[in-house]
Amino acid sequence: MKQIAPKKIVIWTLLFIGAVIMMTPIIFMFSASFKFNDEIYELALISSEPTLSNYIYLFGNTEFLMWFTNSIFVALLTTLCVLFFDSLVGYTLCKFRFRGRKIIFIAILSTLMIPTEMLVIPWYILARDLGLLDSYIGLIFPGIMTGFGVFLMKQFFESVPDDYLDAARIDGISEFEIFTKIAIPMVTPALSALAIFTFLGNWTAFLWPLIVTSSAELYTIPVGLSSFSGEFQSEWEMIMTGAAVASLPTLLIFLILQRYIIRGVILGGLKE
Amino acid sequence: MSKVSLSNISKSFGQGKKSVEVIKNLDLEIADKELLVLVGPSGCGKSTLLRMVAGLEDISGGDISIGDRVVNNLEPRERNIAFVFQNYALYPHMSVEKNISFGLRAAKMDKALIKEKVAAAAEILELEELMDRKPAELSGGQRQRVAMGRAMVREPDVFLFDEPLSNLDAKLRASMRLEIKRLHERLKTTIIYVTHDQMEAMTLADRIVILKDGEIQQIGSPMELYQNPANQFVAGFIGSPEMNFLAGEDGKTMGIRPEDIYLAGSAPELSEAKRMNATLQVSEPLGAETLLTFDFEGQGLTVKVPGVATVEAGAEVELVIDGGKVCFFGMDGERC
Ligand SMILES: Nc1ncnc2c1ncn2[C@@H]1O[C@H](COP(=O)(O)OP(=O)(O)OP(=O)(O)O)[C@@H](O)[C@H]1O
Ligand SMILES: [Mg+2]
Repeated sequence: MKQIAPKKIVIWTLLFIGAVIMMTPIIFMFSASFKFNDEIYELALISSEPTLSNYIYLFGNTEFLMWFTNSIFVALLTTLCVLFFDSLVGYTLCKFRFRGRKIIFIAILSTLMIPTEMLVIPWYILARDLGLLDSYIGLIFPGIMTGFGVFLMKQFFESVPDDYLDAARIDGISEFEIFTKIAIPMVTPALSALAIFTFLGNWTAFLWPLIVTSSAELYTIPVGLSSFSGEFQSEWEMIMTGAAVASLPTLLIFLILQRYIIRGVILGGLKE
Repeated sequence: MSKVSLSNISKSFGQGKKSVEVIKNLDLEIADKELLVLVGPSGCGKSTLLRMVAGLEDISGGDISIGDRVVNNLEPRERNIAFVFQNYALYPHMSVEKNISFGLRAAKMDKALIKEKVAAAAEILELEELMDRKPAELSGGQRQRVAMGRAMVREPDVFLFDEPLSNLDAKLRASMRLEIKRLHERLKTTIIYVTHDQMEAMTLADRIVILKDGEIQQIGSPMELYQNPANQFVAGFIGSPEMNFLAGEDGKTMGIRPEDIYLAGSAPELSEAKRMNATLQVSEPLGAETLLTFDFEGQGLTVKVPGVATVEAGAEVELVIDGGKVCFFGMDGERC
């Protein structure tokens, strides 16, 4: 038999422990979604009488489908906006020299240090004064541009040599076309990583959607699920069922785009 | 008519105290159909000058005209020029064909006409087989030809080349050099060609402009510059191996090319000869000729002799200098 290096054994053990810690809640989530309410606090993974009734109830008697659609809509639209604005701003900051460029960049960067919890109050006041409370625009507007994305895109555009842009200028296309036809295609790995991060971030966003929405037709999934948890009693089996369904798109994205995510994480982590 | 005139051109980067003047009140006329080569050491402002002609860099002062139009404020695309970049700058996500036709498509030219022009350029540059490839799938020489194709199909008034061959190996560089020269003879378009390689300048140019620190040192045909350099900088820059400079009396410097010094035994009849003794340090046989490096009173002296030299290192040899070919330079480096 081939000798296995001790170092490998240690690494695999650590990875295994990590995987168990990460997977357990997910497994229990799926397990609970097949249980009746009275069994919910029992540890058994397989229920004594597994049921699909939670799923039937979820789609038949709650507004889950609507929340699902809302979540998809909000996450997709936000992602598209982020891709467009972040790359446009990152490109401009990277490739054009103008007065105040550095200050603007630092200002954008500094927003990275402010946690969402601190921002929701000004957002709320803004939304209230503009009459955007309880509307799709209200849900979306804080996220249409992100400091992180601008930073990421700017760093990536640094790796696009200016000669390409000059060549395009001589070929005679407009500055905006240079951006869309020449510069953007050269940073697609960064764009796809940014798209994944943004989509997942918005898919799971809770605090702001909770604050800005008040009617159930506008809830996103996390907000909708939290409404299953009442003052006196939590319908855990429903929350788990909703969460299980909500995690499917995420899992799907991970499976399909695994390669890009890993690349994105590496880029996000190492690109200075 | 597509002559190019630069009059009193200057260029500074940065503002206020940090501003550096890179091009200083430069005047230059490039005749129609001329192949003009700009050479000079790294950082002397060659690329900057070329980019100003192209409209990629603003000019700080003076006028540039192409043909009869002053182009100072025109966009690059309005100047009817083509630019070949040092790194080719082929769009990596487009096929060779798309790369070549990009400018024509941007100009909304008729599709059939584009096809015709691209095919013609592809034939001249022998790119037909490669039209569907991406730039990453091409060799350096092929990329170079695609870059030229992209420039050619625009049918520009002026070609601007910025060190187009410097990324190629020596052999390919020599053959591409020839190809550019052929292309020039065929297309008869005005070309401004930037290089820091004096050999490229000598072989290609109708006229050479030597630039140093943003100022023109001398303009002339390759042989004029070689035989009659205006100053010590030009004398040292043109020619390989470099001209020998020997410190003389009263601060003057004597310049003599390596091929104008002979070993005493094989010197031809010279109307004006100067004899001296020097010690051989190194002998470098190149096949058709041999480079000998001598020590003369503490100064290095390179001599180029035909064929194989039989002198031993360390030997003291009598040398004969062709006095008619000697140049003298004053303290300021100017010819005197
Ligand atoms: N955007 C810029 N900002 C400030 N200085 C610049 C800029 N571009 C060029 N320079 C300076 O201008 C001078 C001339 O540069 P240029 O690129 O024209 O040199 P070059 O002759 O083409 O050199 P090389 O042979 O190395 O390409 C250099 O000293 C360079 O540092
Ligand atoms: Mg240059």
